[in-house]
Amino acid sequence: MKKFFSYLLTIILTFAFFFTGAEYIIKIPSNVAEKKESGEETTSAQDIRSAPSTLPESTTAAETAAGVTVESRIQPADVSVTETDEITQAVTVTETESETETEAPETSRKTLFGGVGRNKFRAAPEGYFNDALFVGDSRTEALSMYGNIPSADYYAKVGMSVYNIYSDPAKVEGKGKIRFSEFINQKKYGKVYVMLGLNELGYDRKRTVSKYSALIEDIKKAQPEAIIYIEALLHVTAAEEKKNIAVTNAGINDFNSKIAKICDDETTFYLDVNDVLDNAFGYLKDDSTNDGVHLKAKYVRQWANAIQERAVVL
Amino acid sequence: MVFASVDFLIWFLPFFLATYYVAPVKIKNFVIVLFSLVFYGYGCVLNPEYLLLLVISVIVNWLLGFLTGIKKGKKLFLFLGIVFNFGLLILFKYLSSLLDFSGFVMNRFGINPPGWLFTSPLRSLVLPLGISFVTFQSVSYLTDICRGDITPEKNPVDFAVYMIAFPQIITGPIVRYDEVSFRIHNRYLTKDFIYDGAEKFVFGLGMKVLIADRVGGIWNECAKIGYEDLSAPMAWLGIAAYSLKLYFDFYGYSLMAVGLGKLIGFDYPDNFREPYTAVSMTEFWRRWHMTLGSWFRDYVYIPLGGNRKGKARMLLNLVIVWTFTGIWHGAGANFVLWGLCLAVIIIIEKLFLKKILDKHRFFGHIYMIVLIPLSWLVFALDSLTDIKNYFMCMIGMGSEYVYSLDWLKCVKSYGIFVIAGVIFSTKIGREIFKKIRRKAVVVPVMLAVLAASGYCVYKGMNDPFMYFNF
Repeated sequence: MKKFFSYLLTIILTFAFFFTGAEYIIKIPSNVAEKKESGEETTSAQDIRSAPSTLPESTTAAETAAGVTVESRIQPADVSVTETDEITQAVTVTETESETETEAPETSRKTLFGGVGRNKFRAAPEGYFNDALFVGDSRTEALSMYGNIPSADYYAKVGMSVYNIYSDPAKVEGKGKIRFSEFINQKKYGKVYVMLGLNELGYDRKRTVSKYSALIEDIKKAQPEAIIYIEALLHVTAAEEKKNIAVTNAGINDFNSKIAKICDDETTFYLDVNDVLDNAFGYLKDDSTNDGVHLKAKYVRQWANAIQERAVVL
Repeated sequence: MVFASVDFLIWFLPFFLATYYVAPVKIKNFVIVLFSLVFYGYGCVLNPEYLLLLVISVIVNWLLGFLTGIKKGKKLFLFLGIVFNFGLLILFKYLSSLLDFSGFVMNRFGINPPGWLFTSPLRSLVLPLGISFVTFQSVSYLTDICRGDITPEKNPVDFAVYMIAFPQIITGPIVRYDEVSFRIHNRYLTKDFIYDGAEKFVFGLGMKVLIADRVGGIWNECAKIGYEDLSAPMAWLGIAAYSLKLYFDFYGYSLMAVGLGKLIGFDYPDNFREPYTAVSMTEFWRRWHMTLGSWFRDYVYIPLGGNRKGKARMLLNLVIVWTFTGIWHGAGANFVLWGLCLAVIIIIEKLFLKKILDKHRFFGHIYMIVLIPLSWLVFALDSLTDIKNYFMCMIGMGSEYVYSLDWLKCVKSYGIFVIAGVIFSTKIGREIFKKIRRKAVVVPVMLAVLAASGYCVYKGMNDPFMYFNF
């Protein structure tokens, strides 16, 4: 009798194992995807760049960017290069989606050479970065160490995103851990560079972009006289794209084109230096990084040089 | 599946243990095999044909076991067995490297290598999980039968327990048939086994998740910055962190395997015995990955004659053994180089250095503290240029882009884990464990470690096990 029950229990347990297995395993990835779509941070949304060889737990197929492809970076034939410094309201981007026909050329104009017309940007004069602030994630952190722009301030943290910038304080040199809302009101800056969005690529894009705009508005309020640079996300390598469903250059380009619309070219500018760091196909150059995402020191320097070459002097 | 994952800890393991303990003795082995197949299948869900390959391999080896046992022609069947098992290993693990190497050699001799050398689809075969370990176990089984040390296993399920039991299939230890054959057929679980098993499993998990995965962050930082752009302190810190990560990853996993084995009534051999306290490289390799070392000793070094055929032959045997040890770890040129470096070091020690090191242990420790990170450097980096660049950084000759305070951030974030790693590399860990083992205090300690590890695993902060390419 006892043996019969042993067998019975074993069979029941084995079936329970397989039954829950089917449900449990299949459920986990879609749970993660659901959470991403509602914009909530899942606990595994730790900076997905923290280990080069690990696949992030937060990969989701839910957010494949269907937007701007790499090819659209190349200028279409009808972009006029006659834009001069007398750029007026013609260039001012309307936040609403009304001008759908002119949208495409305007976007490309913005992404071409990192800004509206080459003439707007020039090499930064001496001391330009003394009152500059760089805000961003791990890439900006690398910029603080290897970019050789020591006079600027940096508010950067591995894993920073528009969703956690207010809740997770970052360490600032000389100040220790400090919340962003406190930090941004402490000192007067002449220019604020922002590069965020890489950690949020797997989330709902609309929500990310609206949070991003809100962040820019907050910065404007705290620093009414500063120029704000909305930095285009740097690309990733072709290999990294294959590894990671959420992080693709198509997604990056789509995000970039959306945040480019935030700038008004009077005090907020869109800065895209991807052309300096990309290869011919619009991917990050393979030998510029060891993990597909973070630039090696030498290339961080190149990035910093590009920033210094493309300054807006009002 | 990986031991340090939510799926294993919360779904697989509880169900397995419950089913196993409830099952009647006669079908306990079957339960192990069934769950092990699920375990393996989960791990290769992207390549389900590998599960079939595993089953076929087990069946073939089981049959070959009988054929190798008969008096006539046993050497032939042993040879066939070796060809089959190593053939699979070479096909999946080494083929693309061999093709590359042939192409390289052909180029050197001015012959144009054929195109298929570089484009054959066979090159992109994914490595089946645990193939290096399973291959070595099956070859040892067949060889032992041929030598008359064991008799072939009659029951296919029992044989499968030997070959594919989930505690040791993916990452070892490499078990010999005679070490487990008694327990395969006569299982008895005592309280001691269960306590021991639980403790070893929990502490192994802690080592992997709380130490290895944390200090690994330093090595990742070095990769991010670039191997030619590190300051000297950072370079040393990085390779020290790598040494700790490699050790605690593998040690933690081996401990978990032994713990799991104990929970089901098996006594798997230990793989590590405080290797970082060795005073010579020879001693190090008798404390590191001990089951691999003894496999090479019993099935390669001694059959080749060991040290009984004169000094010159002994040196040659050492070179052969260590080159193949290097190759077992990976299919790249750096692994061959690594194996040869180890061979040179061990030969020098055997000739005269070891006596000195054993006598002056303090000097021996210093010697190893320098040599271990350097040897892992050749092991860790695939490209020879990277190795050279990293070494330049270690002697303070990195590129002009070096940021001299790069190590500061790592010390602040990871320092405590490095210290914990260093402490637990010594005998201190074992002593502490001995003291608290059977006392009540071990329960809250274990729960704390388990909770902390579980939390880290859940947060997704763990790396896949580094030895997965093996």
